[in-house]
Amino acid sequence: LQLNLRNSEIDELLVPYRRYLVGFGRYPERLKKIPIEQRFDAIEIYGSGFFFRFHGVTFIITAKHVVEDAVKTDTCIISELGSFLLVPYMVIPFPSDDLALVNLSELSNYQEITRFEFLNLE
Amino acid sequence: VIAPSSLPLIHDAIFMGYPSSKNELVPRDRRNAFRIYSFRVKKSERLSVENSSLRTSICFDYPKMAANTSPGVQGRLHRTPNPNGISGGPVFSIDIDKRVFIVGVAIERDERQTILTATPMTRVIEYLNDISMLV
Repeated sequence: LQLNLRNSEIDELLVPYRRYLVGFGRYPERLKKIPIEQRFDAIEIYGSGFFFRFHGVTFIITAKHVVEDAVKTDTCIISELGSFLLVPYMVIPFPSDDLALVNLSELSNYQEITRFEFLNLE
Repeated sequence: VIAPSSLPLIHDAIFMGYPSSKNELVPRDRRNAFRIYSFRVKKSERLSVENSSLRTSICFDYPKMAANTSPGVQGRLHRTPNPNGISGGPVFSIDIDKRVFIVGVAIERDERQTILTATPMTRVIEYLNDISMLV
């Protein structure tokens, strides 16, 4: 069964889901000495992910290869609600798939995102 | 949003993510690099079961990609967005009643950036059930 939605209709249906989305990005090396608030516009995005909650725990899910790169650099995760830095112990890799979870119960020390919204998969 | 009990063959799946880098936008629109794009797909196929993971490959429809940009950006891109940054982003499907399903997570792309592979959410939930006692 094929839907025949116009692209604009699809965009409209997906608007509510934008707020769950996060981007993984890094600052170009040449901008490292500039204050963080001035660097924000220069972030190079190289991956995506999204917030969700399962059994009362909130995670970001993304691709494993994205977080493998992320923890080696000062990667900033951004959403429409704010940003924070990813650190290795927040990451739970899947054993056999190219997937990884970021456990946001560890987020309290990295408060740049003070609130976020999530898809509820319970 | 609905998590389906099994992954449908995706004929109307939508990838969503941050696929563009700043280089792909004309200079006056550099701030729009943080816009989120959704990409419609024209074809999908179910791959063989591999390591108990069922995957679905999705071919991008580049002409539609160019048109299907976020409001305010349409018509101002000087080339189609690079789907590099879409890795890890959600894959949605929309049914005949216009209900939105989250069906997977984008994990890889081919060299020519014409095919993306997604791992189904059922796989994600299966794993979450396995580790739910640990977190």
